Amino acid sequence: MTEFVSAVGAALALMLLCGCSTSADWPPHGRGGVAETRPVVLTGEAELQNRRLACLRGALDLFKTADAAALSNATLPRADLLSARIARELAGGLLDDARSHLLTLDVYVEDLLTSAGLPADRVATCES
Amino acid sequence: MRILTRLIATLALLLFWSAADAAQPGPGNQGGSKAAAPARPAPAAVTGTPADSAPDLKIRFGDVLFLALPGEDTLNKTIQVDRRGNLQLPEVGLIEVSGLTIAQAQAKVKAVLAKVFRDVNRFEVTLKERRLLVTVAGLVKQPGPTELPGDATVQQAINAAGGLAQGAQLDRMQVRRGKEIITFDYKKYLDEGNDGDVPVLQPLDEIFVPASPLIGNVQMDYEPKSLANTGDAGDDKTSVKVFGEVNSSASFAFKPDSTIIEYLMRAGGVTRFATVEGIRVIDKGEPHLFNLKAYLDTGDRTLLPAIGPGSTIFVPKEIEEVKGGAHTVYVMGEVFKPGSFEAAPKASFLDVLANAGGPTRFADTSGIRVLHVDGSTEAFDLTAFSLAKAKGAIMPKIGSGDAIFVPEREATNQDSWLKYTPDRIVRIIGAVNHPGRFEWSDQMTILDLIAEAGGPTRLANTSHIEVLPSAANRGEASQITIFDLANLVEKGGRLDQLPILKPGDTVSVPDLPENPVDNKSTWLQQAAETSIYILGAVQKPGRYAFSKNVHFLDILGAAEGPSATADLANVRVTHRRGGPGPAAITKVNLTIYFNSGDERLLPDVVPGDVIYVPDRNADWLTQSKEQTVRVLGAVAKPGRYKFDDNMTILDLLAEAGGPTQDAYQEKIVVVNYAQGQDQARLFNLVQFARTGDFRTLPVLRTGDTVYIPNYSQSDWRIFENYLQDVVSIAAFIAIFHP
Repeated sequence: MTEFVSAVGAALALMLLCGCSTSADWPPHGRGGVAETRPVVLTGEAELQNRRLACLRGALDLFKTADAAALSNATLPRADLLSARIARELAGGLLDDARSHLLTLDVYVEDLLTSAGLPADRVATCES
Repeated sequence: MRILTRLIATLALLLFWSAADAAQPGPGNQGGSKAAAPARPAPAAVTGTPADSAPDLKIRFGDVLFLALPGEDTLNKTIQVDRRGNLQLPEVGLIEVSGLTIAQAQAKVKAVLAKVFRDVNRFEVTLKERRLLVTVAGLVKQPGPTELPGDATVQQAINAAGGLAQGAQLDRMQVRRGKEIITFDYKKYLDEGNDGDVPVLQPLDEIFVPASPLIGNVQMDYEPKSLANTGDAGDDKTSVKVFGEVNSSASFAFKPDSTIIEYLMRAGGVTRFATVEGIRVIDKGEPHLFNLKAYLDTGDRTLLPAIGPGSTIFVPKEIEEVKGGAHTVYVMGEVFKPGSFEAAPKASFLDVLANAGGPTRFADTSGIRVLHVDGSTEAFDLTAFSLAKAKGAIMPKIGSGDAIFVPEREATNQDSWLKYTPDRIVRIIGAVNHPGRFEWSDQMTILDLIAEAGGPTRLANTSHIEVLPSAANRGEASQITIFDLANLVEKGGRLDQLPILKPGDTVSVPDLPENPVDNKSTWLQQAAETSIYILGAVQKPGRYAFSKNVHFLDILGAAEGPSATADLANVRVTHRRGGPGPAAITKVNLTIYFNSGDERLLPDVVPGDVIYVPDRNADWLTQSKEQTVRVLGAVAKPGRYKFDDNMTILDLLAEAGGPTQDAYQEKIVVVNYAQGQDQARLFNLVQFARTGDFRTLPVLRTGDTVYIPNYSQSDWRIFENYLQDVVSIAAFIAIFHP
């Protein structure tokens, strides 16, 4: 009897333990949902790409201060929006997407600088 | 008493003679003397021809005899022999005395008186005065019998009849004496004063003044000058006829000494159009040519042709010569000198027209036609040619036998539109104040036409004026030309690039549509190629007139702008391109435009395009997954939501109505759709609410999926379920275990 009770108790305890172990199915917590304003610490490839992004955003800032009329260029809000996305993707670990979007941002920034009469080779320096 | 009476009568007769010395005698003055006849023969009467005392002088009709019978008053008087040759005597009646001598007459009368009076021995007859009883008939003012002095002439007789009437033929007057007719030339008498040219009148003669054959057979009043201009011929056979280029064609009485020069002068001379070198004369049936110019240059009288009775003189009209050429052209219609002209081969159209005196002020110089000898016609607009603009125009070539017709200009108040044939007009229809047909000239432009038509109406679509050329001008495959007057007026342009109108063309000015909301039926009046369509979430979707000068935003404004639920970020423009091929589509993000003001975002739209403004509340099935984020699970409104990179998961949850009460907010799952490897991340809303750490917000982009699990999926709830199951199993075992 005692053996039987012990066996049942052990089975029940095992079942309870199985119920507690289900938390391991949830994915990890995300981050970087507003990384353009609330940056997170990045490392490795993400950090490198983030520097490039920072460089391009610097070029955008230069463009914004160059000419008030340049602010009416529709590419600018697109570039701003895209840079925000890239920052989020870098923070969220979506590196492939970030790299792809960085190429698009290169084009945006280069167009903007050219339209404002600024040296477009600044974009090339960001790649290095 | 009787002696006293005679004395008074004698004194009265003396007074009468004294008065007659100072006055011209009149035919009626000699009679009426009722005084007693003097005993001696009456002295020569001052009112008539003195009596001839020759014993063989015979009494004529009209003679005035003095009868004297002393002591008998009724016979002491003058008595005139009447037209029958009788004396009318009291008591005895008529006694014919004409043709008798005085003595014979005295004896005859005495014999008759002796039957009534006792003592007629002292009866005596004397010829007191000779008088002429004649009749003047014909074209005199007062025709009829008249009494004249015994030696009166024809001229006196005519004057007594009131003178000649207008139209009298002077050279063929007549004196009719019994059966004898004596014709005489009274004009000659007037010209020369020769008494022998007129007959000596005798009693009972009838002077007949004939009418000139020139006055015709109709009685009318003649103006002397004009009558004289027609000549003075008495008959056709002997008259000299002068006609042609003389100032007064007429028939003149032949005068033996007159030359052709005199006849020409009597005809008023030659006109300025006369061919003075070739005056034609027909005399006695033989034609002759007279060169007046040569005669005037030389004075050679041998050049003068013979002119005889019945001769004909014709002065031909000079044939104009342009340059002494040899071929003839004709000019007709409204020119100053229409006719035929000899034009040199090199003579131009204008040379010929100028030699015809040029167009009159009534000429329609824009509608001149040249009729070529081969039967073809050629229109020529001289008005346009004369303007600088038409310098390139070509004048018609004029050849031998061609004719130039200059038509009369139509009266401006002429109503009939049939006056203008389609090859002379252009039509303007549609939205102008005075549509109609207008006579056209090539120096006019379409602007002139529109102005002539009163200009466009208020609702005219002046940006899409259509010019439809006539098939005759441009061939069967004529193309409609679009003229943008609005653009020309607004921005200016080159007038030499205006559409060129030709007679027969039609200009159509379309109407602008009425407000499509108010009256959509009028849309049908608007051509599809001039319209643009705006559909979807705008205040007044519809079809609007459009031109290349109108902007995308103009159309959006015409539709009174987007509605409150318009999805401005996803406006689409379908470029239909007017053909059967696939249309291109442009996506327009007006949100960015309104944020940036970048005009380049606005697409170029053309008539025929379609603008579609979607509604944000439209069925999500119409939106692609790349544009939305899927929200699943325990939210108030799960579904697909639009998302952009300015938003976060918080915005999305708010858009979806927030988590439900049983939502497992600590384990919100975000699945990122990535290029490399997709990934899932957790978001703990509860923790975020406690800490406010935005860094904990997961990355969310369009294409991603958000799942909010139910609380039943929480760890504790799962543990509770397991625990409940374990307790149940344990209780079951305890009950049934022995």
